Amino acid sequence: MSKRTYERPYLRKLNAGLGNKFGTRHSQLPVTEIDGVPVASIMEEYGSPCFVLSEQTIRQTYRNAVRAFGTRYPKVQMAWSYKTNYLNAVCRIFHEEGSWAEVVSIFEYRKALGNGVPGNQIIFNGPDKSAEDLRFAVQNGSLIHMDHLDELYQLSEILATEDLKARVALRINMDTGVYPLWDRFGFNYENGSAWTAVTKVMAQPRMQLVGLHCHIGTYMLSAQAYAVAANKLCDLALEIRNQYQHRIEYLDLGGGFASGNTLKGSYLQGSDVIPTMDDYAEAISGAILQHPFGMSGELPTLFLESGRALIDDAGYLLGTVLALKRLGDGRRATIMDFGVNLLFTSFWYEHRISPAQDYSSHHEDMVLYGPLCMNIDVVRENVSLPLLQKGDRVVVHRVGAYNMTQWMQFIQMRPNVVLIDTRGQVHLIRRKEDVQTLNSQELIPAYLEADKGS
Amino acid sequence: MSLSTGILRLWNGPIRGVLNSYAQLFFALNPLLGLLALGVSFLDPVMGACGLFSVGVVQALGRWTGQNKELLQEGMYGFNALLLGLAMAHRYRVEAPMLVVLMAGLVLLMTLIVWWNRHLGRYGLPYLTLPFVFAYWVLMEGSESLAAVVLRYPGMAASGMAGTAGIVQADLLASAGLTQAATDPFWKSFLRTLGSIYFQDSVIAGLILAAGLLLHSRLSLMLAVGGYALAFGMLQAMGASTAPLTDFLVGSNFVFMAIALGGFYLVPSTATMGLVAVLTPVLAVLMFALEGWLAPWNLPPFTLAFSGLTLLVLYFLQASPPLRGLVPVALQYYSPEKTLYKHTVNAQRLAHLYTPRLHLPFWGTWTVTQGHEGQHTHLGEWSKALDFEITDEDGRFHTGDGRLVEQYYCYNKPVVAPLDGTVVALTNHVPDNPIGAVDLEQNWGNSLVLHHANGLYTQYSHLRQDSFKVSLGQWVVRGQVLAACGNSGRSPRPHLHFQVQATPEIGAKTLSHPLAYYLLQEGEGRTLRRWTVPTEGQRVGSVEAVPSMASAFAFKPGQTLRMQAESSPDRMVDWTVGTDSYNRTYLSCALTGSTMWYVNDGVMFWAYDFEGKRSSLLYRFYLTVYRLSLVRDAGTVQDQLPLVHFSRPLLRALQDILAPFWMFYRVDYRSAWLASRTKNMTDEVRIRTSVSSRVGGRTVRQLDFELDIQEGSLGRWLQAPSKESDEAPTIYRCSLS
Repeated sequence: MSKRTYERPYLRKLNAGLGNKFGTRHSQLPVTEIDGVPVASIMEEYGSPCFVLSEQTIRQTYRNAVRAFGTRYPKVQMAWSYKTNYLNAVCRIFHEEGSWAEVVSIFEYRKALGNGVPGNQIIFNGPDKSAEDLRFAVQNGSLIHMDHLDELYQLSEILATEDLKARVALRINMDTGVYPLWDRFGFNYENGSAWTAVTKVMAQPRMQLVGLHCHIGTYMLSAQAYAVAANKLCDLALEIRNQYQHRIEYLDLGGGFASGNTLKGSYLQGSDVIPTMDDYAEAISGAILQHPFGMSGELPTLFLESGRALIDDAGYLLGTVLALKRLGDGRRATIMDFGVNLLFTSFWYEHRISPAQDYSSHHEDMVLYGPLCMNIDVVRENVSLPLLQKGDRVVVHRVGAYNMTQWMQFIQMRPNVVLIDTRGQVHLIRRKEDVQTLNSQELIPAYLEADKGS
Repeated sequence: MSLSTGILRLWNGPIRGVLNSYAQLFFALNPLLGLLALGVSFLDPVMGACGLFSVGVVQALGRWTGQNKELLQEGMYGFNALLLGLAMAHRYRVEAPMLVVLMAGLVLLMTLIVWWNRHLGRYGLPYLTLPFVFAYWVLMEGSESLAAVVLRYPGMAASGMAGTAGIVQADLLASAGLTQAATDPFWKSFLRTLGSIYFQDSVIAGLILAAGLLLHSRLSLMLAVGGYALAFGMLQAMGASTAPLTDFLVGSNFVFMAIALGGFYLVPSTATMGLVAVLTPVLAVLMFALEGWLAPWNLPPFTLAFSGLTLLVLYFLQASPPLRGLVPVALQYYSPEKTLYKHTVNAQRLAHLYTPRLHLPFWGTWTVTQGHEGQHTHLGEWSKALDFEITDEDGRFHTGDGRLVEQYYCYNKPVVAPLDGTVVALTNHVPDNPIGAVDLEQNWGNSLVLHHANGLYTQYSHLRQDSFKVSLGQWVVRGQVLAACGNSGRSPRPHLHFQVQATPEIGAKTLSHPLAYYLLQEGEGRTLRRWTVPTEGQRVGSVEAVPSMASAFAFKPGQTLRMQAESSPDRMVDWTVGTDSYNRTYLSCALTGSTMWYVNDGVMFWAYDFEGKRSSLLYRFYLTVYRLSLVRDAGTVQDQLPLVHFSRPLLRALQDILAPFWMFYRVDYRSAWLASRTKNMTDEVRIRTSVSSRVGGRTVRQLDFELDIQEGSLGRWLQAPSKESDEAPTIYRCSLS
């Protein structure tokens, strides 16, 4: 007979008031494997913590999005938002599926080129494009999405001196009924600066205005906002057609589609309130199709730069319990080997966390802390989890977006990232950092190089 | 006007018309053959001159009376006049009174031609040599009482065909080493018969004509020899004399019929050869009968038997359902082999070029869940229908547990018009069924019928109530949203029912009508399917031309396409875009007189014919753009070119003779987009095409081209040098203005 697991004693506040409307039952199951690969084996081989990406989920999510839009609108083109997750392996999966690249810096731009994306399939967004960057992108035939007039003037100068032509789009911001308004990017629709920008671009002989772009916000919980945005872009495109006899080739509705995560402060679970890809598609394509563009051949192509909604679900973070303690106010605290350094999104999500091994039916409310020696390092302020022990493994869900780009090298090193391919094989796609990685970038002035002690 | 343009105008005006009149007797439009025949007719200079005079008169008459210029130039009026002139000069002494009579006869002939051209033309039938025969009879009888019109050989019997020269130049032939032709009774008879067409009883004349015919068309010569041999052999076997065959326009009946039915009015094949074999005895019997009937009136039947029987057979074939192997020639190229090569290639290739093209009535990829003759509801009169639903990667139709219609992928998805048309029926009063339930009362649910063409309607059923974006009587264009997929009527789960029918009622009997184009999804790969009906279980998606490709090949009449050599920019050729009276679009090169006909059907660009100089640049362009896909995912487009457009002369000549029986020589065409991953907006597409002629598996000749589409128009055009040479490729820049 094997030794029975020791179960530590715990205290629970007596709840004398109304019961939780969802009841007291915890039906959470342990997550012992991802795509058929045991969590334990991944952690044994690649250490803890460790990011895991599921290729199967990526492809399924992508195809679901393509189906949602492609069966509602005849011309749809996805552009992978690099900033969401620019690990080359991830990008290449999206490009293989037919996605273009949407980049917001020359660093991302070069990454896209490195991933084999032809220059004319790169959308260059963002407020920071130097003269050098613009020249390079124009020479590559990329689509330049202009954010402000200074960029327009700068581009105009470059085109004139270099004798180049550029295909450009204007980023438009607008009131879609969702607040706060995102009006810091692009040109405002309501106050007329968008139209001013249009007239300025149309007057440029070396610029071809091919598209209109908007990105109305992030984690949009209302699909209707996209219908408003699409309507406004269509009105603008048709106005340009009427005034200039110029056809806008594409409308870029940006991204901002929500994933299944639960936002902090949300009463209901994320998956209960967020619109589905079909809801977004219905709102956007329905709005565009109502506008008199003419025959299907003259409809503008619909570009989408969705990032989060396509990758979030495919990412997992595996970690280990470092220690348990009780806080001064009696709350239970659990310290994990991952914190806000790796899980940047824990600032706004209440991440779902599952144990990776069997556990008893007892649950306990607790705070989850990270390993940093910093007060802000809180992964979950209050989460009900089974009774964890030191060394227990946990799986954090839906961490594919932004974490692998916004992570910090602070106190701790960045861990391994692995990809489980569609046949269940595990591939290391980013090696963990070590002291060497960091030191390799550092230089020591000669006078500090002197031998110690002399 | 310079001398050369003067000659060109003469050539394009009277000269060609006259020479073609001579060649037309062999169903040919070949100036060289015409010239040889003209020469042959001048073996007897008086007769030759009279023949030429008659042709000239009729050509001039035609011009003055404003007859169809094209027909005049093709010699369609002239060949009857030629026969009449020759026949008259053979019978009468060519003197002023005779010429007056002849002139009268030519006027009569002209009126007969115009009458029969119109009258028989209505039935798509030719008038052949009927005008000549009737005009000749009239002149014969008419000049009986005119003393001034004197017989050439007094006492000559009306149907007596005693030769003019009457001498077989055996020595001459023997010295030329052609003893076989001079001595062998069959060949002698055949050659004399050929000569007798131009009223020359001479083996030499026949030999010249045979050589001309060989140059013009190997197949025609083979048909002529074959047809004649059949008649010759048959007469011999039946104990009849073969001597009368060489009489003027007697044996030629068999030659004419063999060419006419063996390869001119019908596409040459083993079946047409069989037809000629079957008809040869009929023709012989008819000839004897006519001779007997006409003997009391002293009228020679000449080619009446051939004309009559050919007309009868052509009419018979028209009135019968299509017979295998006996295919009427739709577009006359005046060369049996050309007709055959173009027909064999184009029969499949261009069959549906002008028929209404239905596309899929939705966007994206859907699955056929019930095909034609489906086991559930596509039964009996309604068997030719298609049901479509959307499935995901795992083959599921819905998300979640599938208990709500909203969970089904296809539910509420747009249904679009597959072709332009008018909304002629619309019902919108049936609510959606819950999953699993069917509404047998309102079988079709909410439906819509579009009228595309006479006898071509399409119906869409089980649509969602109140989802209609069009109204009754509205004109819709392809790709316009009609309504949304729903679950009304006899529909246990959301799906789109699509059927083609001949009448406008909802629920009419279905028609099996293929889809013009769709993309078939198989695993990760997609292939372009053309003119077929998708079958149950297939995942299919609608096609959309890449905009830059569509605009690059949207030539507009009046535009000029300029080709400029990259190495020397002064070297350039201009081609004009035009449309002819049959609404056919073409590119033509004035410099070389070459024309390429093309069609852009929105999914593919088809260059479907070329006439003109093979040395022209337009010819190479024709080879390059013979068939191009304007859509992505079409893979490699494979096709065949008519042999006449890409072949070596000697191999061609051999193939010509064997063509109706066995094709050993073929020209393959392939075009493909070079690797490109772009989805919808493309700036640059590079197309690589290659044309190669093969004998067996061996490539005889191959040409490779590359054509770039840049910024929505044609850009660089590269012609690769042949494999043996180490020359640099020739590069042209295309510009449309």
